[in-house]
Amino acid sequence: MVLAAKFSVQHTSVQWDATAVRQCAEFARRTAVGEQTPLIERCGAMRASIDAAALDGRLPVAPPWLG
Amino acid sequence: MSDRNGVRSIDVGAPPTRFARGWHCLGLAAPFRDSGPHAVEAFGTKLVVFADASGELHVLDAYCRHMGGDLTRGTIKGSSIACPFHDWHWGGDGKCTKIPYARRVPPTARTRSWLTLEQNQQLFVWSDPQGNMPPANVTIPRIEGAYSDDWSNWTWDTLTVDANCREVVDNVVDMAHFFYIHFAFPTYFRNVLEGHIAAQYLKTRSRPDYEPDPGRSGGGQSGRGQSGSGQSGGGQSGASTQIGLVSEAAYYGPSYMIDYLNYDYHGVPMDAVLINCHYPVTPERFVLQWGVIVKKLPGLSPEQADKVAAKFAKFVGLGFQQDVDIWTHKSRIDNPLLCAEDGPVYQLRRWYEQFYLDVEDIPADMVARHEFEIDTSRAVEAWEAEVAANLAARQGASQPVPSESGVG
Repeated sequence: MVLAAKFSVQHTSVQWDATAVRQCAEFARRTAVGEQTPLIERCGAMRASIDAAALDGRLPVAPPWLG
Repeated sequence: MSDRNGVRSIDVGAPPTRFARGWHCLGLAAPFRDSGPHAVEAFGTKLVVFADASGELHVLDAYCRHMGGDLTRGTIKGSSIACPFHDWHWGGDGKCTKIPYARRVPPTARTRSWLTLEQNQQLFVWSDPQGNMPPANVTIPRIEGAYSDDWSNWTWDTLTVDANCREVVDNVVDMAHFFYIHFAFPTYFRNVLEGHIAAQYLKTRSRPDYEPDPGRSGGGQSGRGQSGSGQSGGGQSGASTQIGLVSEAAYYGPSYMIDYLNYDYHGVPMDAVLINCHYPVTPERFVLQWGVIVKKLPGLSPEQADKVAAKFAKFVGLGFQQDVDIWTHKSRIDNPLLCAEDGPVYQLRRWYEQFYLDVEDIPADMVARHEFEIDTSRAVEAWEAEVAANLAARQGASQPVPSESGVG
């Protein structure tokens, strides 16, 4: 499971759990050739899906105290 | 936390009494081989570091288990350290190897030996209150430049700080201070916290109107994983000596950060590696250390490359001095009040907490992957347009235009 939040257009935070890290295809491809996930800057597909959700309104873009 | 008038109090908390589990760098390895033995005050006690007959470095508790003598004031004899009090010999594994005036060594004669690692020309010890060996994946990565003739030698500096070491670790998520201390615009800032690793990805650009003030440092703040030395070196007002810096940094465990930097050195792209590391002396005191290597520019002699590295390290040091001024005068705060443009302080502290818990007690969410990102490039563009207008007005107008931008 992944929790995503955007407080503003510029901001993005993502919380992964261990299952999600294991299931990510991009992480799997890169760890298979010796990379460690903490040093992988991002998963492109995850980022694209968050950006898409923000654009079409499925992911609210606002700081948490504004509800 | 807030009283009935809405006033929030600071929760001062208390530093942990135990020390972080993890690899800790004690310094460059070579100086520990010089004469010796050497003393290091760390982890609430005193350690003795000495090289055996083959040159391998060992670390023991400094206080002799016989009658408490200080082994750091003793003598290396063969592959043992001999206590100055009664000449008991102690080997690198902590076993007593000889008592010259006794017929036999008591079978329980064993002192604490610290597991060591040499990597990147540096000496590390493993600290663990539970006394376990490090897991295979928890290690110090190799920095290729540290072994290459294409790179300078390490600079190395130390500073003793009277504060809890969490203060320096907090900096890995501190984006905002780049604006206020180092006259730089972070255009991109990202953290990835996962497992025992906390990473920071950073890009900054210099302020086009900034002129370096020798009384105020524009130098690096490698505590945050970035050195601003590129920015302060530019400083030609109005001219476009925009110095860009790209920094990729990570803590590998609680105390050792490797920062890969690419920056502009008088128009030439430079590669450098900065180490920012520390070890605790007590819960309220730590030793901060930093070291720099730079990739040699074509045509530079080794001596010239070392000079470039030294200059960069000096700027980094200026930045750290500013950090120390803050840390030694601030309050510890366990409940920081954050705004939307702050970094993930609570998540970073949750990541850091893992090193103070028994391994079996670490909850899954403490080491789960957390990503945080701010893209500030649009804000920076707007700010720079305003600054450019200010500069043009200054040059063109007969009267100075007051600037609200707090330049300098």
